[in-house]
Amino acid sequence: MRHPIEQEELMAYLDGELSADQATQALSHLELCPECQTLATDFRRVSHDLMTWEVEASEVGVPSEINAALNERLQKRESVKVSWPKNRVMKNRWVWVGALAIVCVAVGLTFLLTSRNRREDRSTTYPSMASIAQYLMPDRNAEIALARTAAPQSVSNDAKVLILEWRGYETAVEGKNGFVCMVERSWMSPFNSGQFWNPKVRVPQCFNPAAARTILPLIIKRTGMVLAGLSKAQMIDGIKAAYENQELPPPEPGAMCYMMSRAGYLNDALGHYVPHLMFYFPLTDKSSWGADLPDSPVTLNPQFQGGPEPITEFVIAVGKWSDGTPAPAM
Amino acid sequence: MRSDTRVVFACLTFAVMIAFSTVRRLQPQNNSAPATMASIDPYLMDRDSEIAMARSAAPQSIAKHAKVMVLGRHGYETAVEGKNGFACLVGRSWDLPKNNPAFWDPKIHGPICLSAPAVRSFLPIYLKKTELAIAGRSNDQIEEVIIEGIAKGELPTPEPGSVSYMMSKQGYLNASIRGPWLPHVMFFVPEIDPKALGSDLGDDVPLDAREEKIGRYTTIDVPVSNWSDGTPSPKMTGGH
Repeated sequence: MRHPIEQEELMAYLDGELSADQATQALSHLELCPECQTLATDFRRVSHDLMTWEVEASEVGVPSEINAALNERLQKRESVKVSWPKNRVMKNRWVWVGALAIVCVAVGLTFLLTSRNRREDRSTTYPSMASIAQYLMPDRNAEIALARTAAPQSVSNDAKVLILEWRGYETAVEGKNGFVCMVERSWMSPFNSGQFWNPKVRVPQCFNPAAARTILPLIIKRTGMVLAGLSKAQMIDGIKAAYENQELPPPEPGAMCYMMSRAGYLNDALGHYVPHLMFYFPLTDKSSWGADLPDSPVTLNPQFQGGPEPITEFVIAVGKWSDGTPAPAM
Repeated sequence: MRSDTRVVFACLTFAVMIAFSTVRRLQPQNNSAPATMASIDPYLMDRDSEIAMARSAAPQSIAKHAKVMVLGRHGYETAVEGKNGFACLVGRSWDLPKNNPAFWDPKIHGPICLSAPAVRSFLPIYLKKTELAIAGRSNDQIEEVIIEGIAKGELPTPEPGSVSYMMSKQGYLNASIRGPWLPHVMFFVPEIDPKALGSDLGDDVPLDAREEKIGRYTTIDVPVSNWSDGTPSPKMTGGH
């Protein structure tokens, strides 16, 4: 088979460094070329190994003779210090005080600057897309299992399961009850979210049939654009256009999903969050639902809310995780 | 879901029905039940108590700015004007299915606060039922009028965003549970199979949905962790 992309380009593609057109070309070829898929898998493995590689502490100890010699030398130094004349000690004391003051100022400044930067950079912790490999789950069965934890077994057992592959979401298990379970990635966050490219995000969800028809297409669409390397601005324009030309449908009445997994990771701030249900509606004002008012059990999820998707998403926390264990207080 | 919660869910049908929602034929015709309302008197409450009970359906942040309606001799009337589009009231027994023996039970009280879309698209059905009940119509006649009204477009079907809060500790939703069931949020959607929401698929599903064939809508009940006064609901937090 002829390879329209070089190995270096393939590596750049995996690292998210290609332009949108090049990324699309690379993706198209990768989809059809088993040789390149193997190569990509190898690259991913190497990349993963490098990321997880740590220098292990040496198990071989310092020989006792060397240790003894070092101790002896240190003790000699100490005794030399003690026998220094008094005026030299005083002089040295002022040097030490000065040095200590400089260190304190330096540490203080560093702390101040770091904390300020941390505050400023919270929204840019993940400023760009990581390599695609970091968003994929290497173990297919683990992703299927994680997807199913979104809902109680009575719902997820017979649900279709989608998993994320190089080209987008693919069916891993066919379903029988119209529900679709999958693990959402960070790019379903609001476009202005600092978590948009957080590769740690794993959000298990099970959509009911109405949501599978009307919300899932949006997730597929966004994911496709992300994997094709489009910019946020391009994605926003593409989604707007897709709603305008009715390529993407509005939420059907009764569209909802289960998010009851204790194994999920919603973002760095929320972690697993609490088990909850989400209900989708055409764009509406949250006040009409009493959402986000004190003591109201209904909250608005800002995931879409017109930015640009014309969808409002309400969240209602429930008492248990999908495995039946009690949930923490909201 | 635990077995005790399962029992509670079995009772939900009644609870939902009295809260202007589910009309499901759970029980056979009880011939001993009166066919019409004998008198409005047993259904009337002290006005202030009824206002307070109606408001207990939702957290204060919603209820205190809601319109409050109370039952009078000629139907529901506005007791307190509202500002936020919500309307709170105490539902009575005639929203039950026509075959339910509690159809005329004056003990039944279902406090509920309805969102603005629910006020527009659901409340008119219940108010019509009330009007007919007070006018001395039978349970059969009430149902017929509602079916005809919806068919002719004189009565509405649920708008998107039609939601209600039923988080009062003070309700008496049916004779079986003799109390308020669980605090819950209930919303109304155009007819959809409850199974397509996960309802009835298993006891571990945290919602309950019912199809209301007469009103052409489906209600979805999601139990929540606290009553409207902020106290925890024991069954939702793992205690008893």
